[in-house]
Amino acid sequence: MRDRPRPLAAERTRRELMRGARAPAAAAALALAASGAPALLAPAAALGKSGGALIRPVSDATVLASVLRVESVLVFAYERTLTSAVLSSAARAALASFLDQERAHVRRLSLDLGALGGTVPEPLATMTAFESELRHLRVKRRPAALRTEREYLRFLIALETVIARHYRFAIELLTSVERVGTAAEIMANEAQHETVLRELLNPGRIRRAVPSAFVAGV
Amino acid sequence: MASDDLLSDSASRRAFLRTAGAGLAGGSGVLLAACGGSSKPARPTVASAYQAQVRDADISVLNGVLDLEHTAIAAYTAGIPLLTGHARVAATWFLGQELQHAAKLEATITGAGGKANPAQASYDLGNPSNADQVLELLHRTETSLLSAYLDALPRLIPGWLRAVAAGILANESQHLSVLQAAQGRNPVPGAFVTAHA
Repeated sequence: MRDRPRPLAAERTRRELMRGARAPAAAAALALAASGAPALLAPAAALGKSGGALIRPVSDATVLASVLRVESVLVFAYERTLTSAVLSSAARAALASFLDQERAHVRRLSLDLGALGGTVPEPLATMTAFESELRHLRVKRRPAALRTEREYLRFLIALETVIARHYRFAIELLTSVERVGTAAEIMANEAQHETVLRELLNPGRIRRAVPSAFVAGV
Repeated sequence: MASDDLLSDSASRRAFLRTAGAGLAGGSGVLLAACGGSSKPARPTVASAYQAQVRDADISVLNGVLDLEHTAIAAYTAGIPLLTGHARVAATWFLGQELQHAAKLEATITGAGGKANPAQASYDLGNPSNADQVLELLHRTETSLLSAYLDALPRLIPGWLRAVAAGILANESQHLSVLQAAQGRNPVPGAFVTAHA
């Protein structure tokens, strides 16, 4: 774990600001929910009205549970892709490494969520559950339809794009300095995955590999 | 973008907000803010509310990373002539993205009523004389930027500012990944991109 000073005063101030300016926090909560994070649909839908302002910023545990669910989707996707016989050796090596890294994210987030008293989601175990999560995430491509390495790569790029957005919203919503830092470190790693996948898909085409100066559409 | 073709994110947001909006009278500006699909600028209606949250300390933090963005722009500008082939194309592309980061930070700072630090007249970048040395300089520069963003992010109080910084941080990590590959290193060495990446 990174040894970073913990500015408690700053954290208190952040919480005070979130209490005092709930509308932006609630907007971010809505955006996270609307981006297809199933775990946050209920809290976001429960947002109410108080003096004209939206209320109830989501808890850190809720945010972590949401990104953890998407991480589980990534793990299942990489596991399933690696069972395919169509991958080149270069792609297989990269994807195996990325799977290890996604599992590391899951372990870390599970620890953090457990420490907050949250319930760690079960890993996805079936294709039915996987496809259900994909529908929640609004990923159009169906895994059963994937045939070629390029199709698998495009599918994984789509998932990496989705998870980057989830981390962006998570970073916006989290209140703990440590958890913001962890989410930033993971989001940066997911962005690197996306770049390598795009390079595998478009060798030598840097504009395709790193298409935007602002990851996750900020 | 290929991956965007696979997603219906904007449509799902609109659908969700239509459903949620019924019980959210009075929050329409915020709802619009959450509706930042690709066809509309982000948060068009609540900009002043967001700006109001930015403190002097946030502006100071942003100016800290802006200083390093200026350094990166200088490093890429100075190093590109010594590069060839794919490395040169990549570095030129990354320079354009660094310029966008600096412009975004400057706009954010001035939009919040602060004063953006200007670029210095010159930077001590050492004396790289070949492509390998330029790649090492750019690697060091990107690592410093990553470190600065990782340090800055948790210190920014408004969530939307953290989101802006996170989007830039993630892009810098992509630059680093490409540079590491160009140097024959593992492009994605760890599950957590740290200050020692």
